[in-house]
Amino acid sequence: MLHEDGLWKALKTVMFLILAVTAAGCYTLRTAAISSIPQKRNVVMLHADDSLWAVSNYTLSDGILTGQIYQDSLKIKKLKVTHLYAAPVSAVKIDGTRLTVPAGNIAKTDYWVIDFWLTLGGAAVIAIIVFTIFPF
Amino acid sequence: MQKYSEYQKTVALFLAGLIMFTFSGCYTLKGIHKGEMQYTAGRYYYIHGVNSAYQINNAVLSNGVLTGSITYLPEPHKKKDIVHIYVAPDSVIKKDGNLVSIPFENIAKAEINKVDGAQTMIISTAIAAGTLFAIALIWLLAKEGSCPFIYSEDGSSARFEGEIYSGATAIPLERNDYLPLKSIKPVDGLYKIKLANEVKEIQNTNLTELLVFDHSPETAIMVDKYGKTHTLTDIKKPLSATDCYGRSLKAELSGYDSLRYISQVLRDTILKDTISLSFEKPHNATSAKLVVSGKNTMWLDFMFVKFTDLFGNRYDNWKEKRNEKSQEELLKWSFDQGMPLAVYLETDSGLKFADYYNLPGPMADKADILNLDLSGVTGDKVNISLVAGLLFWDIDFVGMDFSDGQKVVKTVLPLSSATDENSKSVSELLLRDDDLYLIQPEVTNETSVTFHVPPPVPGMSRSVILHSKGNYEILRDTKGKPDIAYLKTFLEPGAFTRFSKEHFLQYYQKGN
Repeated sequence: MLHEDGLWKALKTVMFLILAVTAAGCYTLRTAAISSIPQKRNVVMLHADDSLWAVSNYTLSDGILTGQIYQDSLKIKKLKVTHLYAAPVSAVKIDGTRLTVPAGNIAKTDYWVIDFWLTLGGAAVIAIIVFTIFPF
Repeated sequence: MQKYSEYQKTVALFLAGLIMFTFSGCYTLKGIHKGEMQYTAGRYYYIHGVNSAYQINNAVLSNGVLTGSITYLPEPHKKKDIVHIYVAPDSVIKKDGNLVSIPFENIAKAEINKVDGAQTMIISTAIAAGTLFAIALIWLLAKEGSCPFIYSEDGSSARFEGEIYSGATAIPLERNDYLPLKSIKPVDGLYKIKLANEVKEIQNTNLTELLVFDHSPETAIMVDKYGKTHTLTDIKKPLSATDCYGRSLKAELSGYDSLRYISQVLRDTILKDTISLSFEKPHNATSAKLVVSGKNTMWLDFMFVKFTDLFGNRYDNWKEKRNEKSQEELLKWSFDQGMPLAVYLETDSGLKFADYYNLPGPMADKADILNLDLSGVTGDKVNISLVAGLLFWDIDFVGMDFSDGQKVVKTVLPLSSATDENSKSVSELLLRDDDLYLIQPEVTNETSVTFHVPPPVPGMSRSVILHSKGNYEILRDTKGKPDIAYLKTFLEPGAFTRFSKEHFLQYYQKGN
């Protein structure tokens, strides 16, 4: 009996961990218009050719995106960032730490979001596998 | 030897299915370095400008410029063949006739579809679960709403032919119905059919008789909802067919085949689907016979049942009130909610309502016909629109026939016997259009009806059509207090259609 209880506890722990990991989420890329970036995304990663800038405090005014380039190494959460893809690279102007790029030169805007259904599906798959290994 | 439980075996089979699904592949967009694009020749390129988009193929990358031909082909089958290219600014996308060219330096991002194993596994799970749900839903629907099922005997078995008087869900909506019996064959000198109640309804059949047509083998026979016979010898396919978003449906609607059309549902304000069709009009044509083959979706039945649920403990009162209304009132409500398939004809003075097709029911395709008066149409084309609520119709074919009427021999066969499941004769109830009804209130009710086969006419083919008349009421065990204020909103045109669309989007779609 003691052995079964121990197994049950271990299994519950595994299940909890799986759910916790799953709750962290499966991500999917969402494309958006430059003017509709969610406010909570306070950092943009600007890609142009092989260059990449991390930009904060950005504003969009008169068709120009302006922001401050991060100077230090950066640890940014995936869900706080928006990726912008601009072309040509010459359209990106750098003045000290200030970056500007015309909105008309930003070809794509996307950011990662948690895909609820994918996450739920992932949890379902894991649950099925676990229940198969440990039938009750 | 290790023993496995039934549960484990089931899950093992489920997982095996998933793995098979996984190998078939599920794609997700992955960024690639634009320098890799030169290795993707022969693919389809979707060019996304800031405010413009093109689909090109035969793309060539030369001297720093990507050039390709615009294609209007439908999306290629293999997603892995698509390269998405994001370009800025719009002004650098040069269009010269059919050619599009883009400077390489203005390509901001390139993406291709790659197999995503994890996503495939997860989506496969969702598909498997969805399939199980759909099967369960279909089973439930088949138990909850439809109309009398007709089977005909061909000498070896009883074959399902379709449903009769679909949509006649109240006494005032009682109507005539003309169902082609495609499988029926003489058995011992008799035509034999069965009327079966297989759903939770009370089905009231007033009349059954057979219309037997002997005609040229090159001629098809159809009877419209008014009981008028039509001969068809040259059914034309549409020159063009598009849905309300401009997507071509020509392939779907040009043949009696597996290609079909059900509405696309997007998060927008559209509640009714409009199929626009164009047919070549013969010079001297003054009328046209419009043929539509299809059925209603299970979704329509499901939503109607959901709608009736809203009446809660007042459902029976609502049914009684409907029976006190006029046929015109009930038909108008049904029409305002997009249930029948409305036909509009483009005339010299604009688009005009021409007629509508009755509901064929969700269980089997039914070809139906309407005669259109072309006196107001000049020019060399007949343009029509078919309009119904989103997702209410599932259409296989639309055609038009301009041929002159052919000679046919029509024989009306009254029944020779009708016996219910208890071997009791019910012939008197079905023989005439009168106040006597065959009432089938139980799921087990089944009545066999026979007709004496008339002698064949040498050199002619034969078509048999069941003429019936009746109505039915849907039985529901709904509970709870209804929200009368909310129910009153369903008096507005399009309210049921909106209710249906909102449910669909809520249950089955996300995003758009």
